[in-house]
Amino acid sequence: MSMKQITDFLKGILRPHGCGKTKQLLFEYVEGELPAETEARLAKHLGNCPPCLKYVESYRHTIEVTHHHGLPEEPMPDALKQKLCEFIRQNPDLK
Amino acid sequence: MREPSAHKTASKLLVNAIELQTPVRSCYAAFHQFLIKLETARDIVHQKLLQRAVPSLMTKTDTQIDDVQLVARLKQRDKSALEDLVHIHGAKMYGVALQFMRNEYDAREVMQDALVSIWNKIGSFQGKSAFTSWIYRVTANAGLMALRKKKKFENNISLDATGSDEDDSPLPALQLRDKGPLPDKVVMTGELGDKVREAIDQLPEPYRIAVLLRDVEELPMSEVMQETGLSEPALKSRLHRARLALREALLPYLKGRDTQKS
Repeated sequence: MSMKQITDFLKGILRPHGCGKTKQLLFEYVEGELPAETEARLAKHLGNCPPCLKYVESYRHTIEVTHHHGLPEEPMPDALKQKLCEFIRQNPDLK
Repeated sequence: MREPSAHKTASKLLVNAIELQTPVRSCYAAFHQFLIKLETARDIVHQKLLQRAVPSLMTKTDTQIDDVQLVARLKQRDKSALEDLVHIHGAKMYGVALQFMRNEYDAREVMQDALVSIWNKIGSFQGKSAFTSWIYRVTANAGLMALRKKKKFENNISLDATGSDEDDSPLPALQLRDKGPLPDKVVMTGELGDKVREAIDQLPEPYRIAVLLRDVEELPMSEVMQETGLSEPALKSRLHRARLALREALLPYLKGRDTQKS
């Protein structure tokens, strides 16, 4: 084991996960806005820290489900469809 | 091929306009007509080439082909195309309008405004993005304008109850009606959708708008900044806090998906 590996190991024990950084960088990480080097460092951390990985994944899932389910699934009432068609036919702005 | 005949017609119009010494405006109108015909011809040629090149993919591109025709007809000022648009894409437009306004009456107003915008701005549609994305974006913009008109947005922009955009403290917890059945079952029965919409609805208005524009409609950050008038740091902070609040509220329903996804 090299000196650096020992230092990293001890750092890991003293500052488990470096998780504060994950929270700080979360938005930019998910948006893909981090500089390559920072992104790689965070990705490495996530590989070694299941709680942080789970946190990031749940943040991503939230965005996914928001996108997929964010709009009401109620069908457009037929009466509204008719009213809109009448609006199109009668509106003088639509020439 | 329609291009040569369109070209011939337009040329004739131009020659006539010049020979008869008609005003410059009429020459311009003839030229404009020529451009519209040319665009229509290009769209039709594009569609025919598509049909010839990939007949097996026709079923997958039917909607796109419908959209190509719709756009061409709208550019020709064919009012019936607008009615067809209501029949083809009205449901999704309605969803966008309803999510912004939360009631059918206001949603209808938003749809009417959106239809007028589509009619007036169709000339600026270049086809760089999908037509559907463009019309939903127009609808979202109409929704935002309507909210502004109603001053709901303006009144809430100070965020007195929820802190400023520079404040990183979490938003008050969103209270979903009940925990519902087990997460897996929630996903299976589609109840997740109800929970997501309920959670979004509970966000304070400015946060809800940020989420709708960026995460639901997937507008680029720059466009959301333009629409909301927010600076980049303010928008990021608002969006992040909204996402964290949604995550917190939806966590019980996301658990079942964690193992599958990661």
